[in-house]
Amino acid sequence: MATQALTNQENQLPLMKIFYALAAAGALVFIAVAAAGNPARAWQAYLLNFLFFSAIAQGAVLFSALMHTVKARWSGPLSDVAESFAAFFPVSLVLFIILFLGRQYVFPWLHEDLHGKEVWLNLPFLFGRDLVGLCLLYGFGLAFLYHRLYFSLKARGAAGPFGRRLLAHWDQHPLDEARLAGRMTVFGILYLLAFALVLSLVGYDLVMATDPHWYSTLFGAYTFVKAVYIGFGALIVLSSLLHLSDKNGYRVEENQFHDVGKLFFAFCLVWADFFYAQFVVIWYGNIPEETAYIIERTMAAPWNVLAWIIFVGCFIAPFLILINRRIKTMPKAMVVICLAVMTGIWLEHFLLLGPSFHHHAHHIPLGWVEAAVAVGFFGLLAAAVTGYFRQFPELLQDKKADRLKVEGA
Amino acid sequence: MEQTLTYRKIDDTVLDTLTPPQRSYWALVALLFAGVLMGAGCWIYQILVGIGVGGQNNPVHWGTYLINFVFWVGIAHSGTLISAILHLFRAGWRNPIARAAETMTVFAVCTAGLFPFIHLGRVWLVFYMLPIPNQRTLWPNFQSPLMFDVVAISTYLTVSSLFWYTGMLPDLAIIRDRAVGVRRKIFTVLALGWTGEFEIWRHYTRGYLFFAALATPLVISVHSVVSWDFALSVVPGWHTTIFAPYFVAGAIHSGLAMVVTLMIPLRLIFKYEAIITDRVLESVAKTIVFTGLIVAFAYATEIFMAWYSRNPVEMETFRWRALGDYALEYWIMVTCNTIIPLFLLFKKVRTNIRVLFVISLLVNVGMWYERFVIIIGSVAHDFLPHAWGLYSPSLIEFGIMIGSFCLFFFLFVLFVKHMPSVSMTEMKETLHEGASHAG
Repeated sequence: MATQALTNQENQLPLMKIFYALAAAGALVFIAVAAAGNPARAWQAYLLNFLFFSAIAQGAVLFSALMHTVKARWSGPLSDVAESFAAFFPVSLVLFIILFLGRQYVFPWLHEDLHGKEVWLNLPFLFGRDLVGLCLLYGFGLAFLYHRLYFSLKARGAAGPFGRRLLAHWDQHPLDEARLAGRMTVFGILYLLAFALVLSLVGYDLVMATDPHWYSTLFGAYTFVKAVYIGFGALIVLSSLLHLSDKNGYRVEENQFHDVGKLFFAFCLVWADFFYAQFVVIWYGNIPEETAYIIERTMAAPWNVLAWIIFVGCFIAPFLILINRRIKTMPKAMVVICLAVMTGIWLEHFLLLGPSFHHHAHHIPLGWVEAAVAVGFFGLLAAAVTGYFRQFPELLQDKKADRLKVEGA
Repeated sequence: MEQTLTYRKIDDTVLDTLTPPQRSYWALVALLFAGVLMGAGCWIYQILVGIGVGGQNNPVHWGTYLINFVFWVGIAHSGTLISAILHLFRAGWRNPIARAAETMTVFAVCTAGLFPFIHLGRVWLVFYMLPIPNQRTLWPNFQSPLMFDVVAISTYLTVSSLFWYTGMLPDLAIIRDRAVGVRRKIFTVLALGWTGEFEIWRHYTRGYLFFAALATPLVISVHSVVSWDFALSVVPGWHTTIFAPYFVAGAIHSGLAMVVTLMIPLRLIFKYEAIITDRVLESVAKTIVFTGLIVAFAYATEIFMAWYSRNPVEMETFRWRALGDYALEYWIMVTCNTIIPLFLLFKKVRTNIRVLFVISLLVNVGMWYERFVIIIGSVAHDFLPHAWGLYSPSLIEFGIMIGSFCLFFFLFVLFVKHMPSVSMTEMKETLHEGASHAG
């Protein structure tokens, strides 16, 4: 099992190598397809995976910021793991900048008459505002993480290279802990606010605008709720794998699994609610310019099959399964469920984007290119997270003093 | 503060509120009842003369009756948020106010439920709404959002009443055990034979938890359905996908404000300071900031999307909302709901009880105006300029509206003096920190 080696120094390098190899393989496929055959398909797969994997990282970090803001007392070890996803933030930012190269292929509106929408939908403004937004979001997230690490490392000591450097820096320049704790809360709240606003913006610009004449006011909120859903899913997967591994001291209590499982279940409902709130209004109103988007994606072939797979995989099945109390306390089962849901949401990204890129498709244009690029992005995310734990291995050791007590003191 | 509480002190503090009331209490009850009678008189007048005595006319057919309906349903929601959702979240600070909030829910739904009746021209024919086989060949249109509403609101009333009553059972037993005479007989019936055995407690806690779990999706669905009364149409300003979550958040926003409005006098009069502590009110205040932010997000999104759509009708609707005939109402709404709650971010503001009370009143006003802006504004100024028209409520409508407020406070005032307005059971659970029965 890959994650079993996370804290084991000898085994860790191969693990990193595997992830780097996956990333490189994905990149190679992407470059090969982009250069040789079908650049549109390569870039569209890139956009899909950029959105999906960035949302995972953003949603997982949200868990920690949220738990800290509401002063939750149960989430200690889960927050530690959630924060590790912040290591993907710089990668995600770079990936967004690279997206600029594929602008011809991911913005179908570039050569359309937009009837006045050019004010909002033009490349410099779009990239400018989204870049600023992502910088703010990631900046707040990393600032929050920095403060969290201060209290973690002070309490547990640092075993990794970067952790030791941070600790040495703090020892040389002592900080006022009360002020630091206050600032941490402020950054946590700012991250939450930025999360809602920036993910809405990204949803409007990179997903909704691929069909420039369609709009839905809930789309932004739907985008960030989806990110929370898969972010929590990824958090459950990673913490379960770490918990099941006997190579590290990381353990999660049964009631903690139960609680995070309940939250995941709640966001399953919220996701379905936000989907339905859009669907029913558009379907019932039946205004031609609105309803075409829904009909194309949920009722007309070939996309309707995909829509049903997603609805069953992301709502009906997890809803029926997660009603059961015991299943939420079983890490192995939860890994399977969360991975299935995440796959469903990956397909859902594809469903939203696909019809805008492939008009009049006779079959669902999903194939090995999308999968290979996804593998590459997974490699990057996994390498970033593994690298984080390599720098801060103490986060996976036996649980020490409760951090909240340290902060409160 | 809570650490100084004991079981006995909790019982004494709460039961002290049930002593025979003073004359001033009855004076207040009489005043509120007079208000109720005045409202009822206005309604009777409307029934006798006709629905035309209200200000509704072309093109605004839904006036204050619908505003008040949505307003009271909204008020109801935070009761369930506090009693059910926060119970599932194990937020201990909700325990002291859960009972009062749930009571508020039940009475607010009752008040809200009156308004569709008041809005009917021939209220005695209301049974046409029922799906009874008949010779009139009338059958309710189940595809109509208004029928969804009937089902949603009656389900909500049923579940929240049962939840409220279930939560009260152990407390009713406490009162029964201390009461004498007729009171004892009444409370013996009300307590449903509660003995406090282990088995009974086990069933009670599980039952309470299940109610909480059922009430949570219900509260969201009910106000979503209320929002779809508007959003499923094609009227600009109504037909928008964000309406369901936006209405739910707005409902909780107004309900939390109403909780603060009710709790501050309650704790002053009943000397509940040791139970409803400053920390509790502060937590409600923080939650108001959160719901206020969601509401602000929705306002901003609507305007942005109208602009982004480049749809002339949408753009005109939102331009007119902010700058047209109802601009004053619009800006009252924006200020009271989104800007003023932000002051609660400052600890000094939210710990100052007087300021908090004033802010809670302003949020209530703002949320009433939100419904005004949505319900009146959109139909007053829709597709056809030829069909534009303004609306203002008539005196009869004001009478009925004041009557509805009097009815709500009348019921609430009666309740707090005759039933335990704080859950003694849940307060005792709070003493054992972390041992809440939310499994």
